[in-house]
Amino acid sequence: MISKLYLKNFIAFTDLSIDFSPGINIVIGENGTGKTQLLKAILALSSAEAHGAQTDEQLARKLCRLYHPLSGQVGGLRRTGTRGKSVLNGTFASGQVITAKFYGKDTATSGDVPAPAIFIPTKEVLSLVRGLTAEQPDLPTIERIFDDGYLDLANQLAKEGASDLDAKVQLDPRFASIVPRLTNLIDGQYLLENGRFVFEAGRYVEKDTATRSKAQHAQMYQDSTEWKFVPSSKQHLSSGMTAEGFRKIGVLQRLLSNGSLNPGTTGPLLWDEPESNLNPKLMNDLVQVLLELARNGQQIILATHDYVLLKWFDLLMDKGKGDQVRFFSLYRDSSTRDVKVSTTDDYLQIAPNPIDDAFGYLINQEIENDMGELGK
Amino acid sequence: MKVVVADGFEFRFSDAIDAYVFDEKDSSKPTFHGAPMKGVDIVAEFDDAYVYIELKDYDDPSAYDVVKASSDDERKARLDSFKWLKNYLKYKFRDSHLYRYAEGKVDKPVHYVCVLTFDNALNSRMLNELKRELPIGKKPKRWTHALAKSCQVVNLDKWNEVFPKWPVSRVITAAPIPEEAEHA
Repeated sequence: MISKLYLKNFIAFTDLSIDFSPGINIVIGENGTGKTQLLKAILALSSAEAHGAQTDEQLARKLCRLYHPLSGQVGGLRRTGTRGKSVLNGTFASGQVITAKFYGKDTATSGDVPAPAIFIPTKEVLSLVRGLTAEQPDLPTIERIFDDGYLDLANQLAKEGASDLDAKVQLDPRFASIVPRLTNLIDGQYLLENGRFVFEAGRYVEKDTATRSKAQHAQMYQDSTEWKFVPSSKQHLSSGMTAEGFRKIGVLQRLLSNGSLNPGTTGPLLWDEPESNLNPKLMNDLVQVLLELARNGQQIILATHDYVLLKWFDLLMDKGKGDQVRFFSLYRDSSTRDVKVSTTDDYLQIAPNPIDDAFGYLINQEIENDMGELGK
Repeated sequence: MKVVVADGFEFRFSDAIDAYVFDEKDSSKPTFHGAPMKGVDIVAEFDDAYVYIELKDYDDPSAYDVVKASSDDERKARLDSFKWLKNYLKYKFRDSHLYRYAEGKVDKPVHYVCVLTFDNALNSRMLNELKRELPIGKKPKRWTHALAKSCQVVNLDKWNEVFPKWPVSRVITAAPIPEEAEHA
């Protein structure tokens, strides 16, 4: 869990400090204000490359693979027109502090190891796993096409799970409230078969209580529900034949089922534009899942342009359940053009809010069309 | 310049021919409403238009958002709140327009502007619903006149942005100091 991020002279950022909530963090901002760059900085600081032997060189390469600077050197990520070294500094909840500094081509790092983060990029990755994790991959080509955000996730998705999802749902109440909802949202689940993901149509249904043994009854809490996945077809579909929005939900499903995402243990879940390719109708359930993950100790940091996503968090958060949702607005200072951040826990106080401004421009046009010069 | 104070807000209409509190409850005033009908807060007259203004200032705008709810009951309550507000704004306009008809003052195009404390997105949604139900825009074939030329739903910031000749601000009322309050 990251509690604070400080970026200096790094790509879009001259001097930026952000305090994260342990729950849900939502970053908004116009294009070019560094939302994705910010998520990737957290990914880099909590990556395996930020610790161990030869950390400095490893992290420099990691940063290059994440951001693809033109020069191919980490120095290409230094903010132009600024003085001094670039600094990336992350303070993590268990007291670890990771600092990376660089000027030219080498980084200097210090600090202990935080739990690794998970980054879900804008494009879906499930259908790319087969190509990205092949036994003899053409790595130089792959790395030219995809940044490390994609490759890291592909590797996390390809991990074999310790136990099957059904068993997890039965054993762990955290999963019982999340996995059936995700599965029923897309009417099926993604399975890894021979190195590629396939889609098995079906739904989670409540197990008939009559089929439970007495012993099972005795073990159960009164209000618990037993779930069982019931396939609706024997035939599996290739993941490429399913909707891209479904595949994005499938990513979350897979990360939970193979243990890559383990609320309470995993580092922050970083998700760049969850709304892309997602039917807005699915947003309500997706937000409920994310809130449920956060209630189980999963820190989540999202970047979004989407009103519906933003609003669902505002509407569904329940302070009584301990929900903490913090909004961050990245914007460029009108005189210095430096990226600044404003932070609030109150949706209505988000300022500037380019997402709501977009609706405001519609209102402006409507008034101009209908009322002409009246009042102007 | 016509200055009108209504519901805790002061409007300054720099180019109005006339502007007053439309639902005036003070019977000593010449603009006393005096009919068992609903009335918008302000009517302003300009060279080529009448503007009806209705204000609604909420402490908790989210209570009117249809989609907010953690339970079915709450969802229904909020859905009811949004519908209630929409109907409230709708009937305010219709009664006011009928009243103005009886006054013989519907001789210029009418614009109905609702000022709510919602964000732009929620205001857009209220506008769409309101336009459909007033109705404004699409009218029945039998009608030869439109009820109004337009309807708008804005928040205070947006009002001041799009109507610079009619700035609005909150009226700050001084709270009585405790001693005065005790003897009041």
